[in-house]
Amino acid sequence: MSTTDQSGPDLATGASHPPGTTPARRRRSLWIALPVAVVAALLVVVLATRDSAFERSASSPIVGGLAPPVVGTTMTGESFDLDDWRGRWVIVNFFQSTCVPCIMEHPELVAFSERHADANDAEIVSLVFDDTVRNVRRFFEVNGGDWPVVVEGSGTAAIAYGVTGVPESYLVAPSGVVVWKQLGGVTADGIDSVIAQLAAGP
Amino acid sequence: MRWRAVGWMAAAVVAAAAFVYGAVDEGPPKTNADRARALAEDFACPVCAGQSVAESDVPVAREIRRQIAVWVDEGRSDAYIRDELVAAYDVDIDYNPSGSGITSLVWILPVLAGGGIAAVLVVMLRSGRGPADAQGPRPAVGRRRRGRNAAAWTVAVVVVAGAAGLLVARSSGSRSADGSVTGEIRVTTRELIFEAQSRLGAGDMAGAIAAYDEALELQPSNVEALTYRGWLTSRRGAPAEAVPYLDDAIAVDPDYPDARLFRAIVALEEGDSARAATELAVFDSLDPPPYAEELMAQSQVRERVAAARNAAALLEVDALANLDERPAFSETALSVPDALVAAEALAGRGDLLEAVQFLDWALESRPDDPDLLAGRGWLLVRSGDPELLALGVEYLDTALAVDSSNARGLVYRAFARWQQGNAGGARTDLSAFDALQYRPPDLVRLIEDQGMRDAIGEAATAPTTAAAGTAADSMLDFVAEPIESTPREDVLSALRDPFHPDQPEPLIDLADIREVVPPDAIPALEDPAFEPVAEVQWLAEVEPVLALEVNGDARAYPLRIMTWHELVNGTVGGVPVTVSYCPLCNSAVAYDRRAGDRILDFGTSGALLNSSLVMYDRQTESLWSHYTGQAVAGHLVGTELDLIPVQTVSFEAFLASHPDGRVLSLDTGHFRRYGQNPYEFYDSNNRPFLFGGPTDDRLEPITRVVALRDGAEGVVIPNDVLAERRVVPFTFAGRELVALFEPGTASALDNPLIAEGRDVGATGVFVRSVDGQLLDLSAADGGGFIDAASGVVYDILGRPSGTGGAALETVEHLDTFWFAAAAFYPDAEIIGR
Repeated sequence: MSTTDQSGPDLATGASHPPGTTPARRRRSLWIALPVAVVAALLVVVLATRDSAFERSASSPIVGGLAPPVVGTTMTGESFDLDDWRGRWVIVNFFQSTCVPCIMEHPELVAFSERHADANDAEIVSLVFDDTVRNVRRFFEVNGGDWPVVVEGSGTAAIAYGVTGVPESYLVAPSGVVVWKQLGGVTADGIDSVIAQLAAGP
Repeated sequence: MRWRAVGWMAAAVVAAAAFVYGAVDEGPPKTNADRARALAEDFACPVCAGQSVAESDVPVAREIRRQIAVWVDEGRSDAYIRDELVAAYDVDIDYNPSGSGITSLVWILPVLAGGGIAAVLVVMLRSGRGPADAQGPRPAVGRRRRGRNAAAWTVAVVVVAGAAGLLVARSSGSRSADGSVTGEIRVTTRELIFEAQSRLGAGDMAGAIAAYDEALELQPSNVEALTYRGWLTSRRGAPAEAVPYLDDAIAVDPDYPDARLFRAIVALEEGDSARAATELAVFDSLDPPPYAEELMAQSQVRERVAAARNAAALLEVDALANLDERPAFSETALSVPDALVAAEALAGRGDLLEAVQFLDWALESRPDDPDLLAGRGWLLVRSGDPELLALGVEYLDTALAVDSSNARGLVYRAFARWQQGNAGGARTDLSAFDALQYRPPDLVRLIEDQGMRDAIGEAATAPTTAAAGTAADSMLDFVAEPIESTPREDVLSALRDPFHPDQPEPLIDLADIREVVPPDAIPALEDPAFEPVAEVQWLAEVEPVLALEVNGDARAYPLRIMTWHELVNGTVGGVPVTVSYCPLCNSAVAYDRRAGDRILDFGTSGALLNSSLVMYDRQTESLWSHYTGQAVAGHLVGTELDLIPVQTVSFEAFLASHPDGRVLSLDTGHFRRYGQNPYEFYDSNNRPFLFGGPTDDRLEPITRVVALRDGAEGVVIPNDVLAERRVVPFTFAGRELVALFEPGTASALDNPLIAEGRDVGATGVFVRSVDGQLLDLSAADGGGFIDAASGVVYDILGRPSGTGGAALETVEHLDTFWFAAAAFYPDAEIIGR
């Protein structure tokens, strides 16, 4: 640890020595700089090995956990509780009637719903994000789809799921665990391939 | 040495004082609303860079704000709210980083660094003392010991500082409701308020009052406690005693709806209906939460106030009627709202004529009062008699001529126009009303009660033309003699009846046209207002605008407006022009609206062709491709419009190039979330929307390109090639041209906020010669493009800097996505690949 064992001028008395002959000062600076450099380097390494902010926003802390509750009232005035669907695959879909990507996604949801209608093994629930009931009603009249659309309580659910924009969808496994998140529109084939992978086991 | 010690002491005292001030100054929030607001500032908006949930206006930030308010009203602790949001959105949402894990470094490092600096200072000061007590060369042993001492000191200070850092991290990071320095009062007051509420719930009014008193002792300015203390007092039959509490509450927070509501009720009970009406008006303007509305409905205070006001007004009117010589209106104590209430009351009891005469009397003193004029018109309009109705509209027109944004005038005239079968005019008035900052609740209720919106929405038959004289028109300054479009023609509409057997043969397969939203659901702008570019404060420098210049008249159309309206019909440089922007294929085009003898104006059909906007003209309702400017179906099929060159550049570039130019105003008569991008990250997901056209794999579908067309020939330059080379000379259709690229323009299809969009640069295509002299352009160091021969520097709009002579001749080109360019010009050559 000792750094001043060589003879040489003292740091604060440099004036009494010719410049350039202060190896101790240099050593001391080094001795101060070294730990700072090590800490800085460690920090850089730690931060650099983390996911970037964007990657983390595409993943989600709720994936892998029990699905946050979806409790509310649907467009047709019935009460809805996600837990009633335990034992089936559920797509929890957040949308807005005036968002063009949502309009684009909708036929895929209709296809998915029809594909699973007979087997009764998968369900869709749509949750309104920042929209009016009137708009939503018209949206479903025009674009089809006969699954529940939660219009009251959907805002609370959106925050619980960490929704950042629409459309956004979550796949809830029969066990009630959120297994997959999609930012942006889904496709029927896309959801089915995820289900097939997960059903096949690890 | 003594002075130095004094200096250190002084510094320490100042620092300590600053800490104490900082800790004490941030008082506890007064109301739930305050607390929700303060919490919202603690969280980062998940989709926008550098803004808190409190600042941002993107939908998710609004939803989070709403949810925080719900949690606060439910009495959740800060820690609970923080945990819920972090569980859903991850730790990045929390501006107050956690005290464990990687983020604890945020707390530890500064303390560690501070400690380190202190250690170094101590070492320096101690060794600085050396020469004072040691004469001549010192023995090596002493120096060594001093060195060891210094090392020991440093290590000790760093260890202590590190430990302190850890402690700070633990206490600051994992903030709990009762652990924070400033949270104590808040929690205690809140607990007392909860106690009061639960006692009230159990019917123990005295206990509740005691709890509120206790809360007020702790925090005399607590609005909730003041309000409910006052309210409970009034419920015990002492309205006069309640007044000071409620007035205090209002003084502390004028925006607390509960206090306003209770004050109104108390005023009513004290017989002061005017005060009650004032408080109610404030209550309505506060956008009260549902529970307050419910309370309002239960108390029937609105009805009671109206009845009391009517009775009072009638008393006054009757008193006036009994006078032999009625004094002038301005000499009475009556205000204009009083007069309107009185007239309503008279009309309400069936004395329509008396009501009319009463307002005429008021108008004698105030002939130009728009509210009186509107009220006078309204009396006639709602009589239901067609002649009186027409007369009433004249009064309303006068009212709106005085003040084009008079709320009463707009709503009453909308009603009148609707009754007259003029749904378009009614819609115009209603949208002007919707654009107002403050919309009086009685008018909003009138619209709802009459079901006016649905009625005029369904009655949409003939769309209005740009020539319709509307209230909005009088608000437009800066429009130099807009050229009127030709009238609507009675021909077969391709918009409504595309498959009619009498339709001419369309140029495309109609099945390729995909309907997405109803016609005009995306509203085109008609002769909108423009502002001088120098006065525009609301655009970020990098924000994209469409720039065009006709006969020296330079205009900028910000994409933040275009993305919501897509079409602007107007007159630029004396030429009737339509400027259009299609977000889905990111193409901007302007056309001369003249087609033969017709001057057309365009609306959005709501349908897409190869993912690009299909326009219709309001004259013949033919369908037009925005992309090619050609009528593809309907009466005008085959007609082509003349292109006017448009460039997408940054606002800064437009401002520099056209300091006298004009910018499309935000005052569009519509309410949209201007500034937000409804097509988040569309330009990076490589999924063209509703695109059913042919694909061409030479480039990724969503690649930005510059596209040129000449008849069937097309040429495409990818923007990444341009970005790399900055200047790309090429030959097309027998002309020597040059494409230029300048970085510094935000994408309108990336970030949810357009101003935050990533830099996609701006392009321009020009004739590569000036006065027959071929140019040799290259990117200049300070921006722009320099000609090697003349030394003239041109900007991205092709204008020379300073007095550099002639501008470059612009060439019609499209900034667009590859998939759309490939669909419309299938055999286009790609330059640079």
